[in-house]
Amino acid sequence: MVRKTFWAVICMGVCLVAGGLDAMADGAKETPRMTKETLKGMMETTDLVILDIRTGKDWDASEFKIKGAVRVDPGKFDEWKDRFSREKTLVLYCA
Amino acid sequence: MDRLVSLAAGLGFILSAETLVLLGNGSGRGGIGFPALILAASALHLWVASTVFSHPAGPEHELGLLKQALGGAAAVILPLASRAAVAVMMATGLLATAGFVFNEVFVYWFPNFLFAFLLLGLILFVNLAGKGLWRVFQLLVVPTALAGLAVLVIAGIFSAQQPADASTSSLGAGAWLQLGFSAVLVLVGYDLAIFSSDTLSGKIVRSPAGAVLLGGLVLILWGGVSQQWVPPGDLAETTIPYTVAARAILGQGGRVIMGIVILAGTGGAVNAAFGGVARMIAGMSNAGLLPVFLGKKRFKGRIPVLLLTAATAILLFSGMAGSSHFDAYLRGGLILWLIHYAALLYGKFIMGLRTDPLCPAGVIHGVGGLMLGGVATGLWLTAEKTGVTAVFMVVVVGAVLILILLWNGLNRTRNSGQ
Repeated sequence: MVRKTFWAVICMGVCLVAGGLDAMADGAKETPRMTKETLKGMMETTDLVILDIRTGKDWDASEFKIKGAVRVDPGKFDEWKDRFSREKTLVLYCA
Repeated sequence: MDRLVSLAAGLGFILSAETLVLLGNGSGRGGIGFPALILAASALHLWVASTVFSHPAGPEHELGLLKQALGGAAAVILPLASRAAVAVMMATGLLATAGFVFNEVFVYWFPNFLFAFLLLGLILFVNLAGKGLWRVFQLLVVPTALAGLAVLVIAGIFSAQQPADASTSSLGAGAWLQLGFSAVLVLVGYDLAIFSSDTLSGKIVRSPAGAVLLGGLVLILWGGVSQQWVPPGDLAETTIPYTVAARAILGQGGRVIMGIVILAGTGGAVNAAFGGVARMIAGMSNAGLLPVFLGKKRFKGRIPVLLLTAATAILLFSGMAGSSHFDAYLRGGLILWLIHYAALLYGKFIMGLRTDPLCPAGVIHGVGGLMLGGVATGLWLTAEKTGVTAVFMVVVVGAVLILILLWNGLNRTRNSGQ
């Protein structure tokens, strides 16, 4: 019983550390962000373009897709960068 | 009880989210034709299960067959490259999906990747704690997934509401061929049933065939009901056909039930994969085909499970699930798995030639092997990213080959030094 508890604690600890490191890695980058409330308030404006840059399971497994969002491949920036007017506000949406 | 556990292990992949996506998209494109293709694929897999995986159970028979017919290298490369690669890739994708489902259906503020890691940790614990807990877990999650699908199927069939227009556009021969290949893929993984129990080793088991029968039936029913409730175009194009169909049938309640199915199905698939592949690796080690530390003599065979979990954790942490090539990698692994089935049939053909060259059963095995090899080739040629898929297969097989060469070299050095 003690051994099982020991392994359980080790396993959960590894997972929490890994998950925490993942979360911290995202938070450590300095990228301008927008809250969903701010975005929601801007949805009716005509100069807004939401770019959904999710790939793989981030896109496939998610039930929620923003209506009107344009899906683009983040790895092919050169292919789509000129499709959108520089006058518009581009919001990149990812997981 | 052993046979029930074995059946539950065989159903692991079949009830997973990845299979339900293939099923939904295929049902949307092919209409009533897709369940018919699954029926045909079930017949093919049933024959393979009865021929190769039923007697006797355990990794020993499979290893012995491949070793005798195709040599020691093939006995390790094919099962290891296919099953280990798919176990890790499938676990990565399914755990990521489970994280999204938990976040979007049940607890919106809970980070989806944290849930994925916690579920991985739980499955690791279950696999390390001993066979008893592994069996209980598998017998808990697989029937839960089955029950959820059963509720949705029954609701879909007997609901008083008017379902969607189920008409489909006609498809060309090429599209039907692709659907046929998808139908073969949805049942891959039933052979994990043979690794579920040491007490079944050497005995005749029908669990792989049982998994094909029950899994095929469930998929045909769910595919048929999905077609009735979701417009074919939507079903074919959505990335979450299982949720779309469940929501159409029972609204928010259906969404919650399908959420439970996905979470339970993920647990069943990853637990079956890790437990089965770990036992397979331990069996190879005990047969002298892989290093001793991977076998049962050290740490009661827990090293392979730790390695599989570590590999999955690294892939999850590195964002592999979000890679645009992920589906191509998984497809490559599944193609290798089909090639493994083909090799086993070819092995039976070779053994048949050696014992009785005129025996028709041997020829049938050879034809079956060629057929599955053809399906595997067709899956590769019709892949969206043939190059990426091919590179993945080459890298995985190459890595296993290097491992074997190193191990054999080390063995020779030890033996010459004695």
